[in-house]
Amino acid sequence: MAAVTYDTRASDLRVMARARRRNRAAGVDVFEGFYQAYLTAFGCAVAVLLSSDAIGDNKVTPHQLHDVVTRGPGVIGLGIAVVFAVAVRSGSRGGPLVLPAADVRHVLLAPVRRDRALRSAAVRQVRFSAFVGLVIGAGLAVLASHRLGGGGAPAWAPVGAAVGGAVGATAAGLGLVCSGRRVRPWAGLLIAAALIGWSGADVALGRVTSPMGLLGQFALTPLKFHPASVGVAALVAVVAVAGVVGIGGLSIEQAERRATLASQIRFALTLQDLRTVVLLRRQLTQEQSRPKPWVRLGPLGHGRRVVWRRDVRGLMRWPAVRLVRLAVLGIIAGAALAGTFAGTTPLIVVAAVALFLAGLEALEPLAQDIDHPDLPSGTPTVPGELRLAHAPVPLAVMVVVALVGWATAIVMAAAGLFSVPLALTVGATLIAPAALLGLVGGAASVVMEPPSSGGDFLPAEVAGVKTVLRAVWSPALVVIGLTPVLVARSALHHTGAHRSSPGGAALSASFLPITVGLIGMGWLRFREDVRQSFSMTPPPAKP
Amino acid sequence: MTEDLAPALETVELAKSYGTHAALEPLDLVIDAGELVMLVGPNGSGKTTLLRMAAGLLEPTSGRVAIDGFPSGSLEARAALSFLPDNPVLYDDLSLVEHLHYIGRLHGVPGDELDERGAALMERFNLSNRADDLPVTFSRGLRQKTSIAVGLIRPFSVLLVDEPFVGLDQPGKEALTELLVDAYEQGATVIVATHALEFAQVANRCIGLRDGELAYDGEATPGQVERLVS
Repeated sequence: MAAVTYDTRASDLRVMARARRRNRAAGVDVFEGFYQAYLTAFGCAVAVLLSSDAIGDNKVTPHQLHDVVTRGPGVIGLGIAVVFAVAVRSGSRGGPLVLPAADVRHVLLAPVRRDRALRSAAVRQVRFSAFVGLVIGAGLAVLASHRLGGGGAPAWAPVGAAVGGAVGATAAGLGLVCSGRRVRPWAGLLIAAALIGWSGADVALGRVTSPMGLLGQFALTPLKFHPASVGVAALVAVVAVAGVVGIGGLSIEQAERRATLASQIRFALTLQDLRTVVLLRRQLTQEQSRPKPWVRLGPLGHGRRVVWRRDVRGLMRWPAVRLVRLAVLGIIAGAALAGTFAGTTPLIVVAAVALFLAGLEALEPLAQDIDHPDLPSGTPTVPGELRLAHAPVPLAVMVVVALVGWATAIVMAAAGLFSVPLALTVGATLIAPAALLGLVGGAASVVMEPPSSGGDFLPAEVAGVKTVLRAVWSPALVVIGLTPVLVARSALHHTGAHRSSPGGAALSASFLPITVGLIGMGWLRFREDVRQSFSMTPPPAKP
Repeated sequence: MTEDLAPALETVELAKSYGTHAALEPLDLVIDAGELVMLVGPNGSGKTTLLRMAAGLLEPTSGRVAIDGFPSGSLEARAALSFLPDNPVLYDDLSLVEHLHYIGRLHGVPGDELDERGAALMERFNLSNRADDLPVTFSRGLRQKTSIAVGLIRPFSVLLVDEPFVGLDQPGKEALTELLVDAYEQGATVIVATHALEFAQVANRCIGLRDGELAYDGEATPGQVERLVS
């Protein structure tokens, strides 16, 4: 028993990998696989068509085209820097590899060289990221070709695919390097900030000095070719290879945590259980409430306001990273709404998703009650009243998020996107509906029950539509809250006799979303009563 | 010859904390080769943390742990050590016998020896008729037995076992106790974290932890163990 040998050959790993593939294949229904491939292809085609339609085919003016050529590489580079920053952050927490828990337990604890054992998984990760980047890059390039000219889709698509693939491969490589070198989370944050800061400086100074900017230059090759931008391919290759070669140093502790949590997140996503996804993501990133609150408050006291005070106490224990995330979501929402007002309508969806995610975060106290139903149900309170009592503090948080968005829009206006007075007036009218509907959208998702596993007897197509509606209706509510920006934009371009100011038009248009928001609050309060009144169950018979 | 002189398990100022919570206070411990050790303590005392750091699954916050003189997690330590966790972690796409072959081959066990040892282990746990079934279809107890068989199929000089009796039926508990004693009698160092008081009758050393600190180290009767656990 004490004799120890470890002359394991890599071929043993390959042999068993083949056996596992064979067993998995035996459990797959071929027709089910084809059906899923068909649905995926259909969904992608619909997404491209809708995006194409939303962006439109109007060619940009020569002045705008000049702007794209001069400032585009920097802006694209900034977007790429954000992708790289996310990859570095992921790597500093053990990502991007998600290994099967059994591989962590059995292969990584076996006397085999970890770099060899993990090489194929790392190569797969780089390959997959490159493929995803390639598809997204090609799609974006085709959309850009509609408005920018430069030889049309045949010229743009290969370039977009190449840049997208390079970004995907580099992002995976960066993550693997950070994971393999065990870069600490704080160091990962610094590197991420440096990457974004470098690209941000490029944008601010109107120059291209970063590799991300070079990739941005290459992305615009159909408009103008920069020979230097081709050189970045070598950097991409070096980073990707370094990631694969150095992955053997990854932390087993982080690999095991990711293995467990990532599989749970996937399962929660299949159930569209966003609350669970939020909780698991926090565990994955080790985001915990502060042991010491930012401000220590007095006793909770009594009466109705005890719920508010409890919520404020929860707020006082939010970690700094969550506060930063809410601020970033506010900035994204504000920037996207500014872009919407400037003419790019689809950005309203980006703003809505950002506010929806902020709403999910802000509703933490209510979500805690939903997570632990035994706690509130054991108290002599009406469930609806308790839910409603949880609303004011998250609403105040959402107002702050909306204010951050407003400030962002004012900054973008000052940078020349449109006039500052317009940002001041239209932005001010948006704060209340955006905050309210962001909260209601989040609440709708938090209190939503998991999908029923059977009993509906619906055809597959109807069940599919129902599933999609379940997923999109909560964020769609937030879009309603942002419609005043569209009305304001329409008023700005309206030249008729009954012309109203954009701010006034937005204020008038706020009536609908605020009404919807109040109805949403009413639903939160009287949910059970409404269900009871619509229930088909007959009342109990009288004796 | 380092292996012959070094303790089977040695910790030096080994500590683990999560934020401000100390799961294990700095711990100095030496377990010599050939000991059968019972690791006891109430829930949250640091038993699992200690075993997982020794196995290389957790990284110490400070200090170090060595197996047969080699740093935990190193190639040599992984070759010397087998860890039986409290929660079975198995592949969904490998049958029971494929698990035994895979893990055995990863640890360099020759094919013919694998067949023989695998058959003996399955026989011992009454699993022979499930050899070609996927463990994902097994009950909790059968999965636990599979996990134990997987841990014992390969060669080891140090065996770490965390709460092994949870989920096992009485014959399974008896078979496992026999296997652990067999491993000990063949010269392996066996360290078992358990709440099963009767294991004190076979262990020749008891280490008690409480609140992440060493609370007891020596021989112990079931009565003494009960006090340590409570």
